[in-house]
Amino acid sequence: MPRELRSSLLSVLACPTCKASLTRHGETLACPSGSHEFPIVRGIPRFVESDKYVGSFSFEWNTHKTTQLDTFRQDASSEDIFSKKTGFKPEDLRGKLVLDAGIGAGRFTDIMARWGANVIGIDLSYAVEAAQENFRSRENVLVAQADIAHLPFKPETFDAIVSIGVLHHTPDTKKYFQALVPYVRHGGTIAIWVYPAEGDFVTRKQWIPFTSRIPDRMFYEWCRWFVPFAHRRPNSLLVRCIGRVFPFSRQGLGLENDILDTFDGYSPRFHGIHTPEEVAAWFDEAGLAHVRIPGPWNTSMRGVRP
Amino acid sequence: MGFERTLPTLNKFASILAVSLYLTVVGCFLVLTRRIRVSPSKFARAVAHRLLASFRQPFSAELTEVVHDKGHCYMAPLGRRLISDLDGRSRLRLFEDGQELPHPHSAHDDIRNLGAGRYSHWGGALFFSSSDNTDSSANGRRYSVREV
Repeated sequence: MPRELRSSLLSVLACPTCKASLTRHGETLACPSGSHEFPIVRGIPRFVESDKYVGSFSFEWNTHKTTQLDTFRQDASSEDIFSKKTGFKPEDLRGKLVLDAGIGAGRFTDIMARWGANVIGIDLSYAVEAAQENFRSRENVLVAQADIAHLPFKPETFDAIVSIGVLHHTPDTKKYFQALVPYVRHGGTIAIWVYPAEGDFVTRKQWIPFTSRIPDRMFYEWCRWFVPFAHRRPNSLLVRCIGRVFPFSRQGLGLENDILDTFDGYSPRFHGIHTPEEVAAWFDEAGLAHVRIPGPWNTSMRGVRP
Repeated sequence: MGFERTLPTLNKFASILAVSLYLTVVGCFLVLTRRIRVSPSKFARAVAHRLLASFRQPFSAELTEVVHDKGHCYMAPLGRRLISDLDGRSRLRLFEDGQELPHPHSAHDDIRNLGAGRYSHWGGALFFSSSDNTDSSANGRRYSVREV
């Protein structure tokens, strides 16, 4: 089942606890000592036993497996966002080993893989099922279910680490960012984007304690009703009033994208918001160099590990 | 593991209604407790004030802390924020020793240059002139406002 390159990607995996290289025994990965074992289920190495606090993402990405993938959309909307949020160009990643921390359904792995990078995508949620389906035929992509706080790799493994729109959905954005840095090799780059502490993100944060408690399927059905209703009445006073208090998605990337994005904005349990100064301080504290904001989003940042 | 879109156990309409009601209650809570700050349009603010005015006692007060502005114009704070000529049309009337002065909603330059009982309710203050253009802060007369 795994082809030659994917076998070499499997060999990058290590025990999250003792950091020893894992060996494969059938559908199990194990430490040399045999003290830690991790199953491979439906072709996906599993380093966690459940989706913990990210159940909404398990639901979301398995419902919208391909909504945001350029390959299926037949456009370059995600590639444009990726370039502007990370500052990467195809030649920067071609042939490089890249970690997509929080792969989801694979929106940005799709781009990096097409650019010729060897990508390992990890996610805590069962979105890995959707990602695995999307990249089943891609030899340069390996998907694993793992926790950023306990990554299954040896330190200094990756040429680049990318985490876009993920870390603010963890219990502690800074702590989970810091957890990524040791896995970038010296001279490698880490690029993240987190929610800014401004505008609609501030408003949405007030809703999260209430909306995150709505059962995912109920809230999703509501989004499937409300977003098209609002789209059909863009000048309605009622819709405009609702939009001031409950900002919903109008990204211009299609109705399915806006339904997905509205659900995505209000369903997660954690919704961190941060200033550019705060994010820059994390990069400084981590000892990263050449820190810069690569595009128009002022909480997207990249830095190099010296 | 299935991730179907449809709700197998709950009527979809009832579910949407329940979520809508829940979000409406939460939204009202967030706005009223100012966790979400909404800056309504001028029109919406005026409408809201009109509606609220129907449920409260008309405002009335005696003017104190009268200070000179320019020309015949004097200014006094009202200590209360009501819809004024700045953001709509004021409902205040000015009285000099119990007699209503004749020219509400006046331009401030007219109050300063012409005086003669012209006045304007502007934001949280009243800009006004006495009926005979004497010094309103020292002519010994009682100035009061009442909402009509």
